[in-house]
Amino acid sequence: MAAPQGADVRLEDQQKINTFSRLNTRLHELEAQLTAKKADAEDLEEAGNEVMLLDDETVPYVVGECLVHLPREEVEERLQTALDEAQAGIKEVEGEMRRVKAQMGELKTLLYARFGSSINLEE
Amino acid sequence: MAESEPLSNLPELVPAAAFMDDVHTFMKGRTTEEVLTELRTAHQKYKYIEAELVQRKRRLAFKQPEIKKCLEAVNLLLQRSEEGEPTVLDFSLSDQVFARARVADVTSVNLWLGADVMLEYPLQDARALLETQLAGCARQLAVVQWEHEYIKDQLTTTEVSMARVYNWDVQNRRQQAGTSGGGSGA
Repeated sequence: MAAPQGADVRLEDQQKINTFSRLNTRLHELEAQLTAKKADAEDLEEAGNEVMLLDDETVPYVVGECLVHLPREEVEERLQTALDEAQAGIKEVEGEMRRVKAQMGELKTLLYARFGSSINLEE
Repeated sequence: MAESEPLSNLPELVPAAAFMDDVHTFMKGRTTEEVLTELRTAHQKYKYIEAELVQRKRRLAFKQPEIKKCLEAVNLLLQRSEEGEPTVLDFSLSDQVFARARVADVTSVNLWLGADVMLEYPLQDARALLETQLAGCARQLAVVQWEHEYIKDQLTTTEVSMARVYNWDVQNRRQQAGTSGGGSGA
């Protein structure tokens, strides 16, 4: 990933490069998690809207491998709780991504200052 | 990050990639080809271990929601039994066929423990067991995450070392060509 010429690599540079590489891997993982969580939240929201349109007193709700017939209000509650959880999860991942990106930005500035164009920090 | 307490004994099993303080000193008495081959072999080994860890991470990440699903089901049964109401549910007979059941007075469930064993547990115990498993899964995930980062460090160090040796070689050759070229010209 890097081909430092010019300035020689000191141990502290190597450690910075290692940290950058770790963060980069972490960022990709977080991106994947975010996509999955966003899809979940979207599905839950949609389900909530659909349930609101129903007149039925009981609604089949998936728990484990079964469809459990639950009172509509309870299903609405459960969906809302699940949605809140999913949204909290999204916020958490987004916060972590911001932290990782900030740290990567710092390292990038330091490493580019030392190695200039002879280092390539891929995203 | 790099100084964090080790979460596993992987560093004892897999030695860390050595950092070269000075390429020139390191290369003394060795050929570039020799060193590069060595580094490439080490890189391959680290890559192999990384692939294994990624696989393990994926398995654990898959297991987590599975346990959560079981826990959710047990929790529902607990809640229903507290309310004292029978539960009507559709359960799958095969992928496309569902049957309706009335479930009342559930006090225990059978948990699949693996290795062809299924054990009956009172609902409370089942919940406790699943919660322990969920916590264990999260702990294992943290360990694998740590191991992955450790291997990642070794991979990056080896990659940088390869680049440094390669660059050193190019410079060295250029220098030699320069001195011998200058010598013949004089």
